[in-house]
Amino acid sequence: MMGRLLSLFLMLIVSFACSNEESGDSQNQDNFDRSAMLVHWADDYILPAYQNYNREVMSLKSAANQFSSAPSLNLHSDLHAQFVKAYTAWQWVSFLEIGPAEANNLRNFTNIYPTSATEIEQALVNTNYNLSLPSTFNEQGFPAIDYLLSGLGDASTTVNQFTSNANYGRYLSALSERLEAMSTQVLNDWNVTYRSEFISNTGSSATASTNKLINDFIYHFEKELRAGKVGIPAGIFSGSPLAQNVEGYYSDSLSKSLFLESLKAHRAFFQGSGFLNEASGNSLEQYLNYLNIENQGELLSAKIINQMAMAESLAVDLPASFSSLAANSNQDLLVLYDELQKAVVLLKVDMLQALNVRVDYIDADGD
Amino acid sequence: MVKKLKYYLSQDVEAAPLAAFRIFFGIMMLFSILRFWSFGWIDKLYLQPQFHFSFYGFEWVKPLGVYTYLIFFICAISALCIALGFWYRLAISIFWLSFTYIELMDKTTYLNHYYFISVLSFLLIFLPAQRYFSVDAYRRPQIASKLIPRYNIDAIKALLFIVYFYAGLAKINSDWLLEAQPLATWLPGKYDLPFIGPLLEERWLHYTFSWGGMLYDLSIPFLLLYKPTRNFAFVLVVIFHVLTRILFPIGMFPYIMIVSALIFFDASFHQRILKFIKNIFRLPSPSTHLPRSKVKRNTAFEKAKIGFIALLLISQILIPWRHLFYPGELFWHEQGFRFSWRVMLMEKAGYTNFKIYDPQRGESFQVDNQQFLSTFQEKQMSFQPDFILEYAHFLEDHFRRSENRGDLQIYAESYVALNGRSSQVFINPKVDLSQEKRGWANKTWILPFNDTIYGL
Repeated sequence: MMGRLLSLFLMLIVSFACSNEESGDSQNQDNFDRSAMLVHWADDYILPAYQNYNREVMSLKSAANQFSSAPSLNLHSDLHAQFVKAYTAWQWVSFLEIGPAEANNLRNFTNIYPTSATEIEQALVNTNYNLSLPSTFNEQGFPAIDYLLSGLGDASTTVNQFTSNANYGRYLSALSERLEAMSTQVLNDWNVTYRSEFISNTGSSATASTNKLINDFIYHFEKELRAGKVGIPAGIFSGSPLAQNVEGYYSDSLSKSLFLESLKAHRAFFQGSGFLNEASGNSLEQYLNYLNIENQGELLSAKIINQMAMAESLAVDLPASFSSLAANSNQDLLVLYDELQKAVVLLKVDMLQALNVRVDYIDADGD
Repeated sequence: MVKKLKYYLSQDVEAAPLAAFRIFFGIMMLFSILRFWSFGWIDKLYLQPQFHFSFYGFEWVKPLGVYTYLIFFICAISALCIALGFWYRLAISIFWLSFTYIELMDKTTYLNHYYFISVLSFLLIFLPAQRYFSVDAYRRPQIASKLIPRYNIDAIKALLFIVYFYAGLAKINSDWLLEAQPLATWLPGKYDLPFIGPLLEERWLHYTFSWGGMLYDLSIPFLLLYKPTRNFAFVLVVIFHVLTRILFPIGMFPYIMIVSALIFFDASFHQRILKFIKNIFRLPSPSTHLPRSKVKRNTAFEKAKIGFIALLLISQILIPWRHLFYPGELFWHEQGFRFSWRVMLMEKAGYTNFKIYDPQRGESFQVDNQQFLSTFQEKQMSFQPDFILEYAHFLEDHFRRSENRGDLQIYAESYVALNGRSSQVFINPKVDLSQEKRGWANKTWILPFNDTIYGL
């Protein structure tokens, strides 16, 4: 007992002796409300984004069913327009690989590209496909629909194929129904159970919501946006460009707009501007500013936003098809990749360190 | 001087503290291994990764596939035998070998406290910890002894002294004392702890903990050695380590240090512990008329042993200073950082990618690290130069073999941030790492640190 009192006394002395040094430094008196950040993420971004996505894939499903039952050039063009809208809406939810999306492996079942034309053709012949198997990642989702709509030939060839062989229509309906079913499932889970779980998991452990979603966000920026949409087609990882590996390859001029949409989504999430509306909430940007994190004399948050804007302005000036860019003037993609890479460094090294977020799934002792 | 030394070496003390230490050590180690096993870490850290980072010179130490479990099993059994004092010399030798083998398999998992256990178990091989309150002493009364030479217990105290004091010395630097880094980065992340959580964002608390930690490490060995302050010091030990346990994910280390600190207490205290254990398990009493000492001092074997212990302790005093041979900032290049009790000193994060140029085919490409490394390995590789070089060599080897390529050039694109500073380029991007040798030579391809950290 005596010893305990003594030690407390010593700690107090030490604290008084040292705290006068930079007492003016703690200007942030009120605590940053991290649980408010989770609520903001859930209500202003995640749920509206999933609702929007769900609406679009429902429309996609009915457009696909209409086209399948009576293939025509008009319906094909309607369907393709709806396909683009749904694929665009997907960009906003793609990085949310947490909770129900993670449990259902949503991203892998929705957007693995390049899709496998061979496996799709096999499925069209055999018709005994089971789309819930992980081995079928690359014969379903948006890339597979893209192939069915634009990969068989021009619009009239496609309409003829669908008219002469009912298997095409059946497969297209199966794909769009699966997208819709998965989306509905994830949205329902968020509405019914996961929202409350998400916003109440406020801790700082590796499995807490903040940590997990920040990790998902950075992972997606690095692996899907930087590598998947730009780096891999540009041949960064293979030595020579892979023009057929762009997102939305068969629609040809879709790849840039999907990239820009994804970049916009990342930025909106980072800045807390919410989905579509301008509901500014407690965002990563504000969190970094609250911690007063500077990077070479500039606010880190501002640097990150500038870097994203830099990539965006570069991409805006590029032609619509990253595929023909990769094949013809790949240098432009390499330049874009470098700008994205700079953003990854800021996010993955500087931001993670500043927020003291532990890298995903590392579960071991330190010292 | 020589006379004094001779007198010192002739002194005897009670064997009880060493016996109690042996029991605690064995139990702690057994528990550590079972804990490690139960978390699935053997599979995750040693079986799943396809590539392992080796310590220089120990490339031959690798996980043995499913037999890796056998090493852990042997290690656990030997820990139990140590606690029981059953075939003690053999058990502690096997423990040291198996434990050290485990630590050498992959340096991704390097922790100072694992190194501490390797050194301590090596020391214990030479100490007569089985002579009292052990199965060995019960079965073979001819080795039983109530007294042992004093230097045996002092050797353990000396090792603990070095660990604490050097940890304290390493904290005398401008980042730790003037910026309160890395604690100022780590502590706010623990905002969700009950009671102290909100305080952890306070700047004054970061300074308190930094200075308190430094003063604690420097003074605790003295406070433990000096009898009037010993009880107070032990309370400090408990508070300090429990606090670190709450704040940081450091596994068993706090408990090991708390229990180890008991060695500083008098024999009467340990007698009470042993009596307590004896009563619980209804063990027979040690023979009351044990001979004074069975340890013969003048044999060549005993003399060699003393020399060995002295050599071990001197090497422990010298090894942490080897960084003086390298120019530049130690925290940045980390040459001489490990094995020197630099604990919790850095928040360092990196992002390192590799570009491979094939001059024969005239093409270059980058590597997806996740293809070869676990998340944990990638994280550790990204800011430690020796990892970066070893991995670069692995990549060269891999792509030459699997893709039938000729000589390759390997370039790192590396960014590292240290203790809250902005990230900066870490490895010279123009240096072909496939041409650089592993070894003790200064790594000139590490770019200089943009800032200065003052201190030891």
